[in-house]
Amino acid sequence: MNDFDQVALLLLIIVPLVGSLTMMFMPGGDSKESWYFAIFIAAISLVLALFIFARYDYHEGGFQYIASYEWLPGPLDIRLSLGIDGISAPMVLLNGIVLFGGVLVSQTVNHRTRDFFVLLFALSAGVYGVFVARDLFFLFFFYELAVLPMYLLIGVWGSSTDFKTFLRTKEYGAMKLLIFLVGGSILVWIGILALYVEASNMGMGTFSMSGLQLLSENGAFDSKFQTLVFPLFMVGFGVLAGLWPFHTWSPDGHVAAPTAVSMLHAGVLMKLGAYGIIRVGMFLLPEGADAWMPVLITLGTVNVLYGAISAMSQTDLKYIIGYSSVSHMGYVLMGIATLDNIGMGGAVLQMFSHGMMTALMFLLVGSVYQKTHTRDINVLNGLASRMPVNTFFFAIAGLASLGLPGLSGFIAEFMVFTGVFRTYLPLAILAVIGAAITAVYILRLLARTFLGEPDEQWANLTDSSPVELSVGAAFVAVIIFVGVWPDPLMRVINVGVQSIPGV
Amino acid sequence: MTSLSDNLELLTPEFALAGLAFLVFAVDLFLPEGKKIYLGWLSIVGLIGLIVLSLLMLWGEEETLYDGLLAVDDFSLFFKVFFMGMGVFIILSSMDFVEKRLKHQGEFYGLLLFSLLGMNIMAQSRELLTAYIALELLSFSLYVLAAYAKDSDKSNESALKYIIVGAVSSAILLYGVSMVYSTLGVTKFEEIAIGLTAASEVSPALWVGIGLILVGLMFKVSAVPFHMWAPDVYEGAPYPVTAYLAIGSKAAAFALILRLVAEGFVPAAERWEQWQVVFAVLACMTMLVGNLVALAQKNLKRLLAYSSIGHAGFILAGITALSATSDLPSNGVIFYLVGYSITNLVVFAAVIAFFNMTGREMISDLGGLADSQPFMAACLGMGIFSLAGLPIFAGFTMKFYLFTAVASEGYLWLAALAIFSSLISLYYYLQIIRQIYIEPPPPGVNGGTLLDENPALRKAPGFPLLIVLASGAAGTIWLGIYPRPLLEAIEAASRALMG
Amino acid sequence: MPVSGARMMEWAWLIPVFSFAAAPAVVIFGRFLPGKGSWISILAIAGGFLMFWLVLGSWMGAEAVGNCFTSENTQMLTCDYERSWFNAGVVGAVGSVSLNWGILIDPLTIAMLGLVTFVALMVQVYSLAYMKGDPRFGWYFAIHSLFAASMLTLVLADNFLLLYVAWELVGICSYLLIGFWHERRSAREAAKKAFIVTRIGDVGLLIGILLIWRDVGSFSMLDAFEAARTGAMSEGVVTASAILLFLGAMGKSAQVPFHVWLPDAMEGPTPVSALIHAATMVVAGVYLVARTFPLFEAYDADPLMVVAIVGLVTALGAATVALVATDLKRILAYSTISHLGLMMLSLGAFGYTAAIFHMMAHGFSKALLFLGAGSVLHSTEFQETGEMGGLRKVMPLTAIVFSIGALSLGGIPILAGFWSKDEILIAVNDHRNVTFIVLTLFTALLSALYMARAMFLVFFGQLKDQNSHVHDAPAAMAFPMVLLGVLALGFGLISFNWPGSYGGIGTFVFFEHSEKFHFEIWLGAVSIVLAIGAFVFAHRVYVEKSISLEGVRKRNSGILKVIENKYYFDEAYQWVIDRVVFVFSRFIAFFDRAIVNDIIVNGPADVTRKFGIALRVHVTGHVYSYTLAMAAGSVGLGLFVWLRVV
Repeated sequence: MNDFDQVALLLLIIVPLVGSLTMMFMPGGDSKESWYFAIFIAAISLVLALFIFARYDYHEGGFQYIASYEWLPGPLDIRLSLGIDGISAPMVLLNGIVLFGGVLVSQTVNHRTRDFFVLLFALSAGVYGVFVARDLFFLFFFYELAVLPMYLLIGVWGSSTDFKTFLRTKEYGAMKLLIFLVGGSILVWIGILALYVEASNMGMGTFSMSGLQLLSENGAFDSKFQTLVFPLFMVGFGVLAGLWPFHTWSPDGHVAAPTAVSMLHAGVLMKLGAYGIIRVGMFLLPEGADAWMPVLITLGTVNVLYGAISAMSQTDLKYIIGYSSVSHMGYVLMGIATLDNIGMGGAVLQMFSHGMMTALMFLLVGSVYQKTHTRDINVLNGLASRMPVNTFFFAIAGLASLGLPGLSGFIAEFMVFTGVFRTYLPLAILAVIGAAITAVYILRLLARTFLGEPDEQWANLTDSSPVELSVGAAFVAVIIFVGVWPDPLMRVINVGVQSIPGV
Repeated sequence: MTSLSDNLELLTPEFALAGLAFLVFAVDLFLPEGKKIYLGWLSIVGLIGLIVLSLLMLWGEEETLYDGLLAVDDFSLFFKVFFMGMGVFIILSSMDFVEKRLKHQGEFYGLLLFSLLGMNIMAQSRELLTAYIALELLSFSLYVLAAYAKDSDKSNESALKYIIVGAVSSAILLYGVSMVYSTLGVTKFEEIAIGLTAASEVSPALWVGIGLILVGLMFKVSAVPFHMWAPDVYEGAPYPVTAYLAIGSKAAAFALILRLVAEGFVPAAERWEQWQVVFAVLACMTMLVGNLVALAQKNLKRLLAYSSIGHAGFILAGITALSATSDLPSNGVIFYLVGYSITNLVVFAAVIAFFNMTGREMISDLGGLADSQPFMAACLGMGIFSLAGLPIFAGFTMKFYLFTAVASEGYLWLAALAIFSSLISLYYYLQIIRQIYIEPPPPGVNGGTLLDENPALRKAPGFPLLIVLASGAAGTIWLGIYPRPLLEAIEAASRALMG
Repeated sequence: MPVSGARMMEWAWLIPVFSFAAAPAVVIFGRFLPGKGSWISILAIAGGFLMFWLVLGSWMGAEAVGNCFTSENTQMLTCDYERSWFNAGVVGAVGSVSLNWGILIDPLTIAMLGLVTFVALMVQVYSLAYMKGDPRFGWYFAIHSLFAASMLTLVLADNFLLLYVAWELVGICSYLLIGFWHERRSAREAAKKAFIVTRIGDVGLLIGILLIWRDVGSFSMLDAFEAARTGAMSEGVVTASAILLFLGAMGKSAQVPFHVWLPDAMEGPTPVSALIHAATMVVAGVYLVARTFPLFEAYDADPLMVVAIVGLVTALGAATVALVATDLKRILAYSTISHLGLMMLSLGAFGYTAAIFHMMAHGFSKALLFLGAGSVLHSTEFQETGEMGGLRKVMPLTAIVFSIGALSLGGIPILAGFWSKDEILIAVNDHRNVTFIVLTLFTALLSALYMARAMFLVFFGQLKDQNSHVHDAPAAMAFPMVLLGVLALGFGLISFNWPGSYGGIGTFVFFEHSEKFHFEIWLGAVSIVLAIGAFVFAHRVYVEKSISLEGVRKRNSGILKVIENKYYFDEAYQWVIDRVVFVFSRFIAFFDRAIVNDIIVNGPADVTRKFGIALRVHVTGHVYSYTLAMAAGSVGLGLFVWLRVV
């Protein structure tokens, strides 16, 4: 533990924040300079994330880079305590990658560019914060910070779409998203207060997660309390994880959101929810978790099938991907609900891999939309011959999401399946079927949109910009790498999962 | 038994404040029209001087005057400084408005100073009648101020309503005081406490009396069902006065309630336990009605009125949780008062500036503000987000602190309700944000957009308002990120209160 | 010497790796290289073919030491090499699993290696000429390499996980190659159909694998077999998982009712049909059943009965369709399905050796037929047999090799197909009841008939002058055809026991007990008669036209219609998809928007807002109402306080 490790996590949060603040006062609202500066900031945070992930010692395991700063002494005793374990390390890495990619492809944002990045960085600071916070107050603080900018990011830079039968304005999408997520977060808030009260009845009221975990290990929270409070976290965080039936904000949000936001939103933000369930729910309330798992895994299964089936008949690219996210987050929830070290590991890996592939999909769809101004798969066709590379990347992402071996999605889903097979056999079979349905809508999408003879309206369509393609290439590389050699990720995730009580 | 004239010097700030007010009036007579703005600066300088003076003089004092009618302790010092600070900023944000749209500027500032004096004494008084007098001093100044735009019918109407309803409430309050006195024979808070602890078999008149006193005070903080005057008065009164009503008078009333409850009720433990429910019920009604009705508002001022009702509900929840065993609730309440006032200050400063530029006060008029006035829009946005209780702004930390306090005193359900109603409030706050950042400029009166017709919208707001906006926004973020220094002062204050 | 031999086998993983490396190389660098880098993939697969011989040699030289041992289940000398891939769960922790790469080498594997590497090599060489000038020439070869690699991994895999990986990869390659000309809608649809139908089978496969894992706690096949043998796995689980695995096999090997994708798969370039949809990928199902045979025959071998029945139905049904189909490639496709059915049937009748033998014989012959057909289409650009006829005059070589293939599959003596089919007949005769053998013989007759029909319709009779310009296959296409032709002729030789150590294929690939070559006289006689009879009859009908079938057609028009419409499978499925699947999906989507979103989500929001609006009216703007409210409030409060206390 050298000096750097002491401040590494603090830096992780501060770098984007500082970026955000400095940009707030930068001249030139719509200038390219702000983009360059944003790239610079994002690059730093990516390097940090990589470094932190690489330096995480999986032999030792447990929480590392631990740091704690006094914030508010006295009865509340709130401290800014940081630390990451095997579960949060991959998430931090994920956020670093997706943020960098997102910033790069935001080249196309040329209206209030600066404000866009200000908000984007505030958001990503929040995301980092949630992943590394070891104090419930700050976890909640960063959680809301990660959600808040979404409203403006979608409302200002998003796009409204008129589907023949109904209309989805960006205002609606943004409002719905924020109300939903904050609605979820108030449940979390109440849960946190409940924990604090229960702890202070023990005479040691605190928000420190390590402290609370100690208490819960010493049986401070009786099972009645746990079963009462756990659902608050399960649903509260679940909303952000797209838990059925609280998922509808997600597809609508995606449809309205600009590319980079969709990437971060589906790629990272939805993972916050699942992460919260693990980090707060499972670590602090193992008995409650145990009691509620049947419910969670059932809902997870519903997620998988419901999302996949509704994706089948969508005609808007972003809706398809949005529903597929709902479906894939279902695997995450199922994996979590197995309380089984393989299933749980699969869930965490799925968070990572789904983050990568959805972000990639949104990136590519975004670039298609940029050029064609439509996402309707009945209008688009034969893009393969006009945008070959884009098509190739999209195919990789799609195949990853239908669980093709050799790509990251397979490993994750396979592990989830194994976990579920050990615990809830019938649901496992449904989940496997869900994976087959995924194939249907992915292939439908590919065939409709990319394959075939392009009609003349796309005659002078060109492939995505070099920037987008190189980002895409990087994402594809990661997806394939994880699919072929998951060990570097798995050994970190394994130790993290191992430390979850009740696994 | 000390004589009444002992340690009279401790009241120097109050005397000085009164002096300042008279000075303003006096100078006003000699200043030519057009120079009146200096009166504003004069009062600001005076107030700052008084803040410094009181800090130097009264730091750490633990004294009482007039045989315990007034307390000079950290609590009153804290609020004294807080009120006068608020005064400074209110005056700053009034200047443009007063200069452009009001006559008799001198009196305006003078009255403001008098009302501040009333507030200060409210924070210090430990006895019902003293409190009542202070309250009336404040109220009367406000009645006049509310009517200040004297050629505007709205203003006059609202002032009239305010006076009538206010008079009724004062009457009720006074009646309550007299009933308490008639049953207990005392009016000092701590003696009331003693009386209550003993008085199990006294006539119900006492309880009714207490109830009536509460009604009087609840009127001041516009708690449901004594809130209906608020929207009308807020809408009618000149903008700065509205701000002052929302920020100053409410804070003062809560300061008084805090002291009354802390010194008069809480010590009578089992009585207090019975009455907490009363406060809880008031809190529920207030926060729900306030936030729900706000959903339906189109006028900025009315919206802010209802939102301030909602916030009063939250604070009442904090009052409910007051207990002899822990300072947490009183800390929470004071913290919330401060945070809420600063946040509201930013919001009002922004909307006042907007009104100065356009003379419009509908929510929909804010369209396109982010493009014409980025800085103002940003500040307003921060203020709104803070009111909605989102990080990194004061609103988040203060809500978290207060609700934690409420929950930890065994009122988890109340905290939960408060959290829920703050979710409701998010919706109408977002409507404002949406106007500022997403919607285009609205149409003006004749053809073009509001932006085209008001060239003022392209110029920066006046210097005083800029100060308020900047410092207010800074304060909002500061409290949201690192409230510790303030909270240390607050803890000192509430220690003095809870003993 | 065994040790070095064993070492050679240990390197068998190189066989797929060559091609795995070739694929990206061609994609990335191909465009800069002569021939779009096609030679890279050809070299890779050639290297694989070379390695195959070395492995074969070293296996022969190997002894049961080190990684090699005599399998308890099959009694064959088996070698197993494992490397760790990654660990799910902390190493050594409870419930954690380590997942491995691993290769398993036994005669079955070796046989498959031979078949795949050789045919793949032939087809790729053939494609050089066939695909010449295609805009995506390099891409074509890249996928071919990827396919070869995956297929080889599939046959080498020693654990179910790796097998599943390869299984899916060949699936996606098939998807890409069927849809290679994706501008054609039919090709797109066919590709999608192929992938999804097989994927449905794969659901079964995956579930089966996980079921086994659930009991055995490892993905290694050998462990699974061991558990089945020793009874560590309960009969229920073994049977269930066997059936589930068979579901996967049915999907890949186009067994009824999963067969529908294979005829459509003919939309791909013909060489692809030859390699993937005739010789290699489609037999993966048969391979899977053979590979996991211990599970099928554990306890009292109920699953095998299922296999036998499915196989028989498939064989018979497909044969009838092949008899009436008019599109040359579809005739071959249905014949492929039919023969896959025969292989399954043979396995279902414990004819392990026979199945593998027929798999290879059929592989060579059918590949040959497709390549022949390819060269026909290539120069005539027709697929309808009606447009052809008498082509032997203009393309003699093609005619010869095609005929060899046809005769071989038709079961004409001394050709490869004859011997392998004979083995199957024996197996069925020995282990299944009389209906089976009768129907099998009938199938044999049919397959002789449609082969003869195809052969005569295309190459004999009058040459249409629209085909007068037609030329024979260029060298690059001719060479592979000739080699395959030789095999189709002579491959049967390996079935005999020669003087010396080699005791016929029955002593090389076998299950539990090796058996020397033997020949059931009466069966042989019957099948010879049927086959030759069929050819003679067909000659009469299609060449001499001395017999007319019109009468027969008329009398059985009803049945004929059913058969010509392929028993209406496609129509039925289409109906289900349109009327059930998508309707349901649209309903869910609608439900999500109209119910979940507009009512459950927006509803409460609206209600709250409406409530607020309704509540608003209580602020009337009249002072008296305010004071009234205050009075009421104070009374209420007073009462409340009073009630609280008294």
